[in-house]
Amino acid sequence: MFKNKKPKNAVSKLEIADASLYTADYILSKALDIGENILRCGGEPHRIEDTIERICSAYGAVHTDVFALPSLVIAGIRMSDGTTSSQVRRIYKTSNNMYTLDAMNNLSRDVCCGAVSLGDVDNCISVALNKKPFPKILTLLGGIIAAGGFAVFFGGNLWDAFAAAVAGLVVSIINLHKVKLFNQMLYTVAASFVGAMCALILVHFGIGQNIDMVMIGTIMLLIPGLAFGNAVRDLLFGDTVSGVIQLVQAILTAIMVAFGFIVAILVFGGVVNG
Amino acid sequence: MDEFLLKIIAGTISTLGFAIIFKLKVKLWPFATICGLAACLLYFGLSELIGGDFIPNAVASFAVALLAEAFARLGKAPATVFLLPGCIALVPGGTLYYTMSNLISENFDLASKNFLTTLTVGVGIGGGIIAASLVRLFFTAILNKIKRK
Repeated sequence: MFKNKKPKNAVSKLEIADASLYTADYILSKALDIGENILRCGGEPHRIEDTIERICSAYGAVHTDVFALPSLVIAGIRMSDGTTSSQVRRIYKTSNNMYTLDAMNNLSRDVCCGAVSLGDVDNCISVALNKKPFPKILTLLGGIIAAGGFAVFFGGNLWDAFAAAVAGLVVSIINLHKVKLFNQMLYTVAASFVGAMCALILVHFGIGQNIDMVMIGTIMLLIPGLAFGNAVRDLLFGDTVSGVIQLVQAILTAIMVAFGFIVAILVFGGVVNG
Repeated sequence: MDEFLLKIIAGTISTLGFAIIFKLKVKLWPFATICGLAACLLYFGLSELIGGDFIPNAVASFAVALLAEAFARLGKAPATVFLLPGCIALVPGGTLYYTMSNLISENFDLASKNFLTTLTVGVGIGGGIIAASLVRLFFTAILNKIKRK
């Protein structure tokens, strides 16, 4: 990501100019602010480790240790004058928000090459967090075409696609109004239950013909996307701990989706074909 | 052949849908959609030619990851932004569903078979992404050496 030479030159200038301006605590806390937000938007742990290390060394840290997990970041730095700082961040909720991820990535790059000073980081973060790439309603459209598309992709006909699109719309609406008290697992069960319920009802009234395809289209919105693939990648790359955590999360989420669907099928059942 | 085409179109459209769900910038949508199209084409093409689950998924995710790296340079955004929606069509939602529905109807043979297929596909996707990262690391190392000389 940061392989081009430009930042490196800029970094050496900064080390001289800015080293005494900021305390170790301040530098590390700003670096962690950026890292934390990247993690929240679905960035990979090793990306966070890399980002924090680069920012800290750009501002004069001679030694940086960062360890990031999907729910925790631990970091410690030592400055050239011997002062040290170590801080911890706990992350509770992560979601896939590529827009903010992109913005944070650019911000970290700007901070590293000196285009944005450390003092402005807070401002930039809040601006980036408040910006939306498009109105929220469009997310519903995304859910509709994703669910409908997958119903056809896995072998359904156009009626199945329509039914899946309706179920997808319902799931996306739930997703928009996630109740804050719900934890992630409970939300997944609820959403998959409602999604399966819609699918079963629609098929019952003859709007979709193949219950399998309608259900699969709806499932694709809920299963942990690429979490499994990402977990395998992290494991094979040597990030064993975060890989294992992601793997367990992915499997748990899949089980929760299955659980929601099973309950819906048992309640509204009779249409299952094994 | 028509069905084949319809499936590819559906997969591509779904990728666009996930690009929206993952909140990509509007100007990055075409890149992500192209990643999805490549994934669908390779996946269906290879499963027609070779069959099986591992190789089509691994090759498709490898290609998507390489494309994502290229688009990361073009669109000035991290590669994950394209990789996540691009690979979504490969995610084994179908076999996961059949695992589940066979479990309910106590059809354990089919359930475990589908479960193993789900695992194979997951490992295939992960392996493809890793292979692409290794290729990228290799090339950046070579490029850096050339630049230094």
